[in-house]
Amino acid sequence: MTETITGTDLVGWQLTVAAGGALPLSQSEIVSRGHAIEARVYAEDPATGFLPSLGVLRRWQEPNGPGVRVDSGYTQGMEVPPYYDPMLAKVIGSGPDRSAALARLDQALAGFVVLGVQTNIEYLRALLADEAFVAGQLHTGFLAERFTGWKPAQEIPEVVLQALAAAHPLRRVEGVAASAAGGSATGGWHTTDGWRIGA
Amino acid sequence: MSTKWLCGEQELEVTRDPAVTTRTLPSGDIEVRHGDTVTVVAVAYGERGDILIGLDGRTWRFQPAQGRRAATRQKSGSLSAPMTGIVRAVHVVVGQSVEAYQPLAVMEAMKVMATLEAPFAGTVSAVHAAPGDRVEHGAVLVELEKA
Repeated sequence: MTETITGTDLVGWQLTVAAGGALPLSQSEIVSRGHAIEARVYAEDPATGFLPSLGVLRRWQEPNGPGVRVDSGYTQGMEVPPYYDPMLAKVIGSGPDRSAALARLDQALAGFVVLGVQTNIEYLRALLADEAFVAGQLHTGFLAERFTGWKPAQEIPEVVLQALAAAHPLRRVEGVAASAAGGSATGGWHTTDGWRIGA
Repeated sequence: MSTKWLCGEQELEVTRDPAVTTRTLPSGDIEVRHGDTVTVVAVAYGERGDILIGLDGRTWRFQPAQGRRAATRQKSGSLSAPMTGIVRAVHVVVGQSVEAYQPLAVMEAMKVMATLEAPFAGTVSAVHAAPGDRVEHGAVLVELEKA
């Protein structure tokens, strides 16, 4: 978020300084512009008290567009293993003011496709739609006060049922099983679904 | 033609709407067209014929209904894994008497520990897990006979 509103590359600066270089800017030269907000997408199930959800990422598509930044460590076909933290990605929305940043973050989360593990995306979107949250009335008891016992919506949209009716139950996405086996250590190298280098 | 599915606790019967046309995209996603409205729905295929669907940040897992009800429903008197993960400890052996709420086993996934407690007082009739085992969500770990 700091990088987003100041237009800097802090990690790059750390490398420069570690290599003996000087900081490119002094504090007085740094100007903040606009507003940014970050949401962390986790492989966990808000409906079961945020228990971790493990599995293979059968479908993974990160959102993009103006005012949207995604930092993640996953690609389609990788497995979310039981050994680490369940964080999948950080999604940052930014804009001229808070309401623009919130709108971009919400749009980005709506467009973030993660199938194969349960995530907190719907919960995050419910938070972003909460009127007290939008008004910035935040305090340490906020989630306990307004989101205790939160459950995902039960109703299933008709387009989802029509897609289900059209989906072929015997279809197998080739390459997913192979990349799942070696995917954890090799990142995108084993995925076979349109991943190109030097394209 | 209709198909039957389970989604969580819901049982569904799904029939294609003749007013809707669909097209499968190269990604596997399905484009649903109804009049002038076109929606792209994310679709992927899981284990055992499951179909995974996503739209606007919400997701669903549909399981083919045939023969699945009995397999997914927890047997009474058995304790199943609340999540996929590693068994860290098993505190009981077959034949042991346990109190209600007594911890029977501990599981871990991604730094989160979950303790499985006896839902009632009884006797352990079977233990299906050992420390270090990797178990799937829903796998039966311990079976109990009610006292």
